[in-house]
Amino acid sequence: MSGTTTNEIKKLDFAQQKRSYYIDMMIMLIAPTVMACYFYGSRVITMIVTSAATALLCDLIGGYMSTRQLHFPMGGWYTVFTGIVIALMLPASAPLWLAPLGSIFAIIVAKLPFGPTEKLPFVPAAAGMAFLCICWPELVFTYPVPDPGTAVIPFGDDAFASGTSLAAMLKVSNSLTPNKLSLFSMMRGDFAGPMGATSMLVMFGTALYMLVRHADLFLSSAGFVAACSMCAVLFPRIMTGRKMSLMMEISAGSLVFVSLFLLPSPSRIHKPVTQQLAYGLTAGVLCMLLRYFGFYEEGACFAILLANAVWPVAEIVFKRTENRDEEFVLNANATVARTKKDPKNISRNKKGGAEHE
Amino acid sequence: MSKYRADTVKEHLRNGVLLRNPVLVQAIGLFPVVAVATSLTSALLFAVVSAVILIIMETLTNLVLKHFPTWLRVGFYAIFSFAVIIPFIFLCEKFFAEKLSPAAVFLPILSVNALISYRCERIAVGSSLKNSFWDAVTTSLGYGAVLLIVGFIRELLGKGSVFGYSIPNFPTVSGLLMPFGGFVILGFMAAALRWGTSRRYNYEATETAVDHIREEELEEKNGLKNLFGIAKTSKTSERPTNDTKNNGSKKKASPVKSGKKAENETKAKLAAEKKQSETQKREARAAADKAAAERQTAQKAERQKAEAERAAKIKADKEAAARLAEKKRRDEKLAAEKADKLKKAEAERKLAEERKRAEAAKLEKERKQAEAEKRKAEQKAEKEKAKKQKKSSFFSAKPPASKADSKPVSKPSVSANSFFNENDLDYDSAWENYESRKAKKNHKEGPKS
Repeated sequence: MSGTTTNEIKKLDFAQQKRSYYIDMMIMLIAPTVMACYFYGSRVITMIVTSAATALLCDLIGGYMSTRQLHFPMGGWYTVFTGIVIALMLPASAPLWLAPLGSIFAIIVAKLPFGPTEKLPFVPAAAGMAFLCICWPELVFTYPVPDPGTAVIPFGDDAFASGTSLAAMLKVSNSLTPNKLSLFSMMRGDFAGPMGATSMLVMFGTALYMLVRHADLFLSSAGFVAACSMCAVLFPRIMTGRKMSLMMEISAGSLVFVSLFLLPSPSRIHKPVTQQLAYGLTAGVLCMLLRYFGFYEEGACFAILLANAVWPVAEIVFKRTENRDEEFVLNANATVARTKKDPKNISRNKKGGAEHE
Repeated sequence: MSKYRADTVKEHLRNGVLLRNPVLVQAIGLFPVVAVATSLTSALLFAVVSAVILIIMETLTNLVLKHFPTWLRVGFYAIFSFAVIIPFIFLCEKFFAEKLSPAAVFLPILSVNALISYRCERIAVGSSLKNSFWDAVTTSLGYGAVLLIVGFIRELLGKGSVFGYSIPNFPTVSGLLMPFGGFVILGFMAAALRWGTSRRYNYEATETAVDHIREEELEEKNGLKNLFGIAKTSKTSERPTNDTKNNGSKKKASPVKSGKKAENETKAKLAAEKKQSETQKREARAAADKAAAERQTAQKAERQKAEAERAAKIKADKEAAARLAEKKRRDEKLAAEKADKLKKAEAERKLAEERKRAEAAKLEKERKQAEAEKRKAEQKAEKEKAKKQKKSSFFSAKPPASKADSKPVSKPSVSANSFFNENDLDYDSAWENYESRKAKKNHKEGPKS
């Protein structure tokens, strides 16, 4: 290592961080997948496998077309992760072709044209999910009622019965009555919603894991949830109190799931703490604005894409302020050094000032 | 810009459709492509209207509008474009009301299409009528092609139909009908075009929007300078009139004389001053007009000079190319001649070698033949000799010769092939040696036995 430069060390460090990020994200995905399997059965596994395999295939073909080499780089894990996340954000009753289609869009449109994973301007999974929301809203926002032990009936079947999600209730300003859903059921995720994003207990566990492993990335997620909570408390959409509004807003849709899995992308690994927090807060506010005034009941993916689009401009502002601070510190250091070198200068100035006075 | 210069129709076509495609390379006039081209019908309508407007506007600009100042010209583009669009709107409403009504709503927006003002300002103002006409035609072709392709893809994938005729059971993606779908398709098309042109032409030859902006920044700076120049001269031309006005007002305020006479005098004076100031104004205006005319003529001369320079450059380039081609041809001829010479020399050398080899073979054959003849003659002579000897011995009845004498005769082959001469053999001494060696041996072996 004697011959390695600082840049190489930085690169190695970054590569290690990226590797650990991918591994941790895959570990974090285990819990929601297990919970989804418990609620909806083996159909979840089929959806996840087809989505991840399609994403990987697209990535491999795209990589071969651009470099003429078939290889499985580290970014391949991110591709698999993207496929799984898209599948977990869909309802369990969605047709089997829906998740692979989202993965194809995510990889071909939002990942491959932009190069390495750390330079992606948009989160591919959010792009894929947004595409599905726009093209097939009736398939994406129609959730089945979870019933452990029984097979899920796919959408379009005569026997299919859709449940009312919390997000849909919030959209029409309907409140949740205690008779309908207990707090424990709510924490367990025993209500209609995206198959991997309803269980708050699981989300809490993964958040803890993330806090331990990547505290800096967790800050953006925390900022996102904090902003959403603030909006829910300050501007409730329901009439049964702020506490219920907070509970419903946080549990509805895939808000916490998105904050944990989509917000901290590989492009945000080396960012300063303040930027992480500000990014999370911005995305949170945008998400709540979309929920309040948007067309769809869930706007988290759109909010992340908007934050991705806006953030490069914000980064310029951050950089300017940092440079200004650095310049100020440098100037101060330079003046201190000058005065140390030539103390007469100050005395002369003082004398001159006194005479002038 | 020389690499994009187009003199022939083919070059214009290559530039307008591929290398400088208005949508895919320069990113101009995106609105109709992204928002309106959701079906082949609307795309065709917009392609036709855009082409007609662009051709008319570029021709009009080249003929008339280029004589107006820039700030006025830009306004005229929008007004004249709208004037061209109005008949189309009426036509659409009258004949294709059902089919084209959703797209026809957006037709007036084409009058402020950036494509028209950009092409007019960039090409039509500074080049010849022929050039600007062909530029308008080829650019319209490029623009229309993109519009039609995007419209076709979006209609097929978004609605599952082509030209309004639906394809049964065709899977549709309704999101592609939204503007984001248009942007995604445009992005992939631009990438494909860039890939294709980079393979077919030199990669640097493809022009990006950023290059345009850089070039235009320089042009704009010059344009602004000219604009300020006009402003300065107008100010200077107005100055004397202002001064005269001020003077007049001062003098107007100064009359102190009283009475009718004095009033008349002052009135006359004022009138004279007014007249003077008017004449001064007129003179100043005339001077300003003259300066403007001079500037225009200077600009025209500059343009002509630039045009002449360009023509000279083209001529020089052509000449240089011809010279190069001639040189290349000559070089090729020389090389061919050299190669022919080398080939001939090689062939001659081979022929000589073969001839030499044949001669050597012939000589060898002759030598061998001679040797064989010689050997035959010798053998014949020896046979004859032996015959003679036999005859003589038979007739003379002499006693047979000793062993040593008869040996060489009985073995003629040995004598012919031996390394020594037959006459050199001393058989007597050899026999003696043999006898002595035998005796010695017997003597040695005697005591043992």
